[in-house]
Amino acid sequence: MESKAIELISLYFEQLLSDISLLNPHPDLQSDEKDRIVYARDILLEQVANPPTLLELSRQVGLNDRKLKQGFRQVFGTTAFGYLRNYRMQQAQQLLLRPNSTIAGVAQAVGYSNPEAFSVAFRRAFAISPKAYQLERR
Amino acid sequence: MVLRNFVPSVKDLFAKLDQPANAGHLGQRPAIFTLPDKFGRGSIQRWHLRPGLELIINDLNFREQLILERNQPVAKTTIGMSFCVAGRMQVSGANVEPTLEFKAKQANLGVVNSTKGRICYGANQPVLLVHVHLQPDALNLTTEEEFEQLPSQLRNAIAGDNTTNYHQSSTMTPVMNATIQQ
Repeated sequence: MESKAIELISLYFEQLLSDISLLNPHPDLQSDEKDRIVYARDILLEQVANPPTLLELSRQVGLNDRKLKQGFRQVFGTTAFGYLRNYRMQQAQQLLLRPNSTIAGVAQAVGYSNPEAFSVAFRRAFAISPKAYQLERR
Repeated sequence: MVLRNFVPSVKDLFAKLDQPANAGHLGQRPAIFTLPDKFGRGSIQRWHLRPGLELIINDLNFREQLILERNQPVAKTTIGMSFCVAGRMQVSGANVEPTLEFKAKQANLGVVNSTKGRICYGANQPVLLVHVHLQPDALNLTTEEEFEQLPSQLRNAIAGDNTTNYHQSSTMTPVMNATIQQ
């Protein structure tokens, strides 16, 4: 139980530090716009299994889609869906190394209902299949 | 052996939680506080894992809306992390303005200098919440370099500056979720 508590603390701080390092300087954005773009990112991560379209997202955060696209790239250095893909893949890497994790379970955890689609995305991202990654790194 | 406490009222339940953990309870066995039937179902499990580190699991379902006023000094600055697995609750207080809503799949970080405040649980809304309470000197949280990267408000609050409040919330990652499910 102690190791789980420490793991949770580490995961939280890791996430916090990663967030801080991801936030690029954004002199052209107003503070309110930056907040809306970070909120858009939070919505994407909350709905990782069924993310909204860019248009829906822009409506939810109150920015037009062009501003959201530009702003997302300014703040996070990538597109909204590029960010989501990277996030899913990074999470998948960590989950695959856990004892007893399965490809299907990891796929579902990071928002893929189809394990095949997850494997293709993983291979595309890291040039290795999730199974091979698991066997190599565990 | 499990330390099980049947408490006569909800107020007593939370009053027990405000008491410092007994050093004799240190270890892998939780103290379990069971909610009296007349108020609903559920329990609070509290693990005192090492000096300055506690894990608390709230698994509660109140029959009626419950608003709990709390005013208990905290002996030392404590970092509180909450991982809401299910349900929602509202918290307001000295260190959390305005009212915060904890909801499922959300993780929260706050620096607690007192438990003064108010917690609101909805009627018939099961809440499953995992809290980690940590005194900053109990663990090396970050390297010195990483610590410098933290928001200054958080650094000041961790350093024990009682005038600085800090709260941050984010979406629970799939890895956090998997850790909690284990």
